[in-house]
Amino acid sequence: MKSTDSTPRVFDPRGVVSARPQRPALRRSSLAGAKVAILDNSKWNAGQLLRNVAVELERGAAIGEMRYYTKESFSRVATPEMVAEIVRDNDVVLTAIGD
Amino acid sequence: MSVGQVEDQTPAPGAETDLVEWYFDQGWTDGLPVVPPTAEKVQAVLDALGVAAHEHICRVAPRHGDLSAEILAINLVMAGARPEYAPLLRTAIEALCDPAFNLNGVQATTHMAAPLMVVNGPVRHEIGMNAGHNVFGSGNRANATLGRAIRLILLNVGGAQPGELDKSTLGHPGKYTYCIAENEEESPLAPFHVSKGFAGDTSTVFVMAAEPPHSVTNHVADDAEGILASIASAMATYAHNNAVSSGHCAVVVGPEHASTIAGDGWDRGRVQSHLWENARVRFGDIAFDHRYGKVYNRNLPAWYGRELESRNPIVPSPDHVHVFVAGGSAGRFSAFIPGWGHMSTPVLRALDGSRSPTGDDCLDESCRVEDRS
Repeated sequence: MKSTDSTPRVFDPRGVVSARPQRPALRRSSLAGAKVAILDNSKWNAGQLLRNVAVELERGAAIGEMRYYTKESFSRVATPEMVAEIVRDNDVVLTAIGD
Repeated sequence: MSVGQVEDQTPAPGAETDLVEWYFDQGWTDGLPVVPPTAEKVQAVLDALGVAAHEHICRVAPRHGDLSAEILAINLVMAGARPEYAPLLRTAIEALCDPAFNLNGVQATTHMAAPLMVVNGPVRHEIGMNAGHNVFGSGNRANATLGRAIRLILLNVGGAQPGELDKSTLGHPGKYTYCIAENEEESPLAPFHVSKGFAGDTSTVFVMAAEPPHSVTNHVADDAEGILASIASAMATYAHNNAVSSGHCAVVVGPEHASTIAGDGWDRGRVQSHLWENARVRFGDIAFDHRYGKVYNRNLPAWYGRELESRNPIVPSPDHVHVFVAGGSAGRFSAFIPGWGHMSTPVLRALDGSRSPTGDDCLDESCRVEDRS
C-alpha cells in the first residue's frame, strides 16, 4: 500500500513464508501385499492405538510385511535416518497422535 | 515496496484511522496495544543492527515465516522496545531458532511452556535491564519489551496464535514477557555465562522452555543445606513436567539466599549437585502405583529406576539444573522454574558470536547447554 499525505504507512509484521509445502503422497486403493510401517511417536495413547490398529491390519488387510518404528521423542521430528529407512523399506506409513 | 510494508489487499487505514485499533483489527498483537511502526522507527532499529532490511535471520516455527531484519525491527517497534535492544533481541531469536531448542514443539505443545530468557554481561547495563527487585515482574522497559518483542515474533512470524498453532491448554503469564537479567553485582557466585566458559565482558543470552517460577520461601535457615532443602522441596513434586519428561530446569536464587549459601563456601557446582541429589521423586508417584496400568513416559532416562519405591532425580544430571542469582537485595526468597522436558535443549548464545571454550556443544555460534557429567 502506498503512503500518501492522507493515508498513514503501515507495516505487516508477519514476514513471508518462502518454505514450500510438501505434497501428500498418492493414496493406495488397497493394502494387500503392501509393506507397512507403523511410526509410533512414543506417547502412551498413540502407542496403544497404533498397536491395536496393527493387530487389526495383520488380521484382515492381507498386508505383505509390517515394521514398527518408535521416534526418540514425541515432540521432536523423526531423525532423517529413520525417515530414510522408512521410505526405503516400506510402501505405506501409518502414524497417530494420542496425548 | 519494502518487505514489511502491508500488501494492497489488507484494508487500508485512512487519515483518521486509529492505528492502535487498526493493528488490533489485523490480529497482529499479543492482546495489548502495540506501538504503530513508522518508517523512521524501523530504520532506527536497522541502523542499530547495522544490517540491510532484507537480511535473513531465521525461519520461525511452526509457521516457518521468514524473519528478516526488517520484520524483526517492525516487531521490536510494536513491542515498545528501543533500537539499542535490537542486537540482544536478534541473538535471543537466533537462540530460539537453534534446532536443539525445538521451537516447533515449544510453540505448538499443549503444555504451558514459554521461552525464558536470561541475560548476562555488560549489555544488561547498556540497555538498563532489571536484575534486582521484582525481576520477574513489571516496571522495567528493557525486560518488559524484549520479552514482548520475542512473543510478537513468535505470534506474528511463527504463527503461534492461541488455539490455532499454539495448542497450549493453559499457557502462562510469561507468554507476554519472560525476560530477566542475572544480578551479577550482588551474586557471590561467578556469573552464569562465566561458569559456562565465556569471558565476563561478553554478553550472552540463555533461553529455556519453561513453566512459570514457583516461589521458595525460607526465612529461617542460616546455612546452605537449609536453604537448598526448601528449593529441593519445590523441585521434588510429580506434577511439573520435569518429573514426567525429564529435561532441564532452572533455579533462581535470591541474593540473600545466595549470600547464605556462598557463606558456607558452596559454589554453583555444589549447589547443582546437591539439588540434583536431593530433589527426587518416587517412581510409584509418577506411575500412580500402576493404578491405571504401567503408564509412564517412555522417554524418561533408561537408567531411572522403575521399581515403585525407586527415587529418581527430576533431571538427568546436575548440569541440567541451571542456577542463576537474581532479585532484590532484601528478602529470603528464591524460585524454582521447571522446564518443558527432554523435548527442548536450552541454548546459550553470545551477542558477539564468540564461543564457549569449555567444550559445550557449540554449532553455528550457539552453545547447546547439554550435560557434561
